[in-house]
Amino acid sequence: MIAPRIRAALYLPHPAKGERIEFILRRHSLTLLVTTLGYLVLLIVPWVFRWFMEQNFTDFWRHPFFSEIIYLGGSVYVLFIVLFFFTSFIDYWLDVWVVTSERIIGMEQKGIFSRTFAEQRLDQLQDVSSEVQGFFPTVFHYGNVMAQAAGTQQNAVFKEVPHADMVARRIMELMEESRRKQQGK
Amino acid sequence: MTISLSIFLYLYLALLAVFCFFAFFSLYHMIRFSFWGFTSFFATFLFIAVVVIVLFISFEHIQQADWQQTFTWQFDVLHLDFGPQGEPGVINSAFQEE
Repeated sequence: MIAPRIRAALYLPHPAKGERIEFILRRHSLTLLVTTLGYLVLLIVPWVFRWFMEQNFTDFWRHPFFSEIIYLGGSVYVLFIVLFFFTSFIDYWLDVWVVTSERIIGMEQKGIFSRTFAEQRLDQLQDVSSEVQGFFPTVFHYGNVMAQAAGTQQNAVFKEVPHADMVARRIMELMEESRRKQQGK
Repeated sequence: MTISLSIFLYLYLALLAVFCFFAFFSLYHMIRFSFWGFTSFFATFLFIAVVVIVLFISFEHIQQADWQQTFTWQFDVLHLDFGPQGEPGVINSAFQEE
């Protein structure tokens, strides 16, 4: 468990006085689990291929020339599958949405060479909604949260976050608190 | 046509260079932008460990192989050999190892 001060320093750039972190959200871990299972199946393919070749093409498989080529191909295959899995994990891990008492911050990794950082003040938000669609999102309680900003500002979308409805409700409460604070000034 | 096995070794090394390029940037992003905790540290460690193990096993195997061996494929389009059962259109090609 990370201490609150360290947590704030890690996730909250330039905190305002009295600003507190409400949520630190990532996509639901089930999305990563599905990806992991897919890559595990792909990792098994070389061994299935080896078994198939030993059963049906024994001479070709044991040929000193072709066996080396197949070995090199298998090595490259495994390395790239591991790399693609790590890239998927980075894509999952570096997508973070932070909700504080003053603003919402979205950090998204889109591929290897693309990253977006967006910040919106709560008093500039107009509408917040949540969306839970599909069998697994309904059973495991995760979905999208859309925060609509005023004017031409880009809308914030929290993708596949746990308990999307609860998050949306809390953001609306924080919006009200922020507006009351602004009016009180 | 004679093909040397070393060509495939060079191809493997070229693909390894491509792998290293993307692995470097993946690790860079993880170190630069990640919020370090047990999960991120463990995932990075696991990735590096698996890559090192695979490369170690591969290089151990590469050292034992004879990369000077060649493969010769003779393909003669002017002569069509019929197979033992007299099947038309079967072209026999001779595989020779030097």
